[in-house]
Amino acid sequence: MAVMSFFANPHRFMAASRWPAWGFTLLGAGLIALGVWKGLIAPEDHQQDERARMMFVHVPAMWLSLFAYAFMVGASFISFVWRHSIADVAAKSAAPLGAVFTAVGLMTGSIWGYTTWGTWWEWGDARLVSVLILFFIYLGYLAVWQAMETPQKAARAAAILCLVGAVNLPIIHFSVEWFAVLHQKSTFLTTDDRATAEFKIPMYISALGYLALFGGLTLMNMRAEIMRIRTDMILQRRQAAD
Amino acid sequence: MPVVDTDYSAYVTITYAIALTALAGAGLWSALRLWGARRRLDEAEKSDPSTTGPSMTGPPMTGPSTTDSSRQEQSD
Repeated sequence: MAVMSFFANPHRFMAASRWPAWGFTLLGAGLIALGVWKGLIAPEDHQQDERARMMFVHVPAMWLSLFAYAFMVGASFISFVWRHSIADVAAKSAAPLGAVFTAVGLMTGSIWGYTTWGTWWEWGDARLVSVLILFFIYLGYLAVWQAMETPQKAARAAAILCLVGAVNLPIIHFSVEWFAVLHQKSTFLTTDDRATAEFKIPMYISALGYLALFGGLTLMNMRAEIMRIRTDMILQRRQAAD
Repeated sequence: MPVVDTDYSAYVTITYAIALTALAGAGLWSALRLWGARRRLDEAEKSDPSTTGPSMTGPPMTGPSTTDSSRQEQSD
C-alpha cells in the first residue's frame, strides 16, 4: 500500500523509472539472445526432434501473454477501486505488449501445430480458441482507450473490460485439462515436469528475458504516456489562457 | 504413399524470425514513442512561460510532495 501511494505521484515515478526502463530492456534483450543461442544448439528431442526448438520462443511468449494480462487486471483493479492515475497508465502501457506476445504465441504455435498435427489451426481446440479470444480482448481494450470521449471515461471503461476479460485466464490455463484438445498438457512448471536441463535452461533463460523485456518496455511506455499527459495539460492550459 | 518432409529447419527458422522481429519491433516502437513524447514535452515546456513546476524529463523532485497525483497535477 505504501509503495502504491508512493508511486501515485508522477514525478516520483518518473524519477524512479528512468534507469530501470532501459536496464530491464537491455537485460531482456541479452537474455533473449542467450536463450535463442541455447535453444538453437539444444539437442533434438527424442519425440519432437528439432521441432522442439520452436518451444523456446512459443512457450515464453504464451506465458508472457498471460502474465501481461494478469498485470493489467491488477492495475485495472487498483485503478477502479482507488482511482490511481499511474495504475491506469500501467494497464494501458502493458496492453500493446501483451497483444504482441499473444500474436507471437499464436503464430509460432500455429507453425508448430502444422509440423506436428498437420494443421495450422483447429477451431475445436479450446486452448487455441481461448488464446485467440485473449488476443481480441487485448485489441478491444486498446480500441476502448481510443473510442471514448474523455480519458477518464476511457480509463473506467477499459478497466471494466479488462476485469471482465480476466475470466478468460483460468479458461486458457485449464483448457487442456477440462476439454479434449489437440494441444498437449503443460510440460514445464508442473509436478509432472520431466523435461531435462538441456531443455529447461534455454526455456527459463528465454522466459526471464521475455519478462525483463516486458518490464522494461512497459516502463518506457508508461514514461511516454505520462509525458504525453503532461504535454496535453500544458497545451490545454495555454489554449485556455489564449 | 505421400512423401513426408521431416526437415523442419525452415519452420524453426521462420518461428525464431517471427518472434525476434516482433520483439525488436515492440522495443523500437516503445523507444521511438518515448523519444517523441520527451521531445514534444520539452518543446511545450520551453514555449510555455507559466511552466514553473519540476520538469518531467529533468532531475527528480526533492523535498516533501503529495501522494495525490491529481493535487500534484493541479499544483503544476
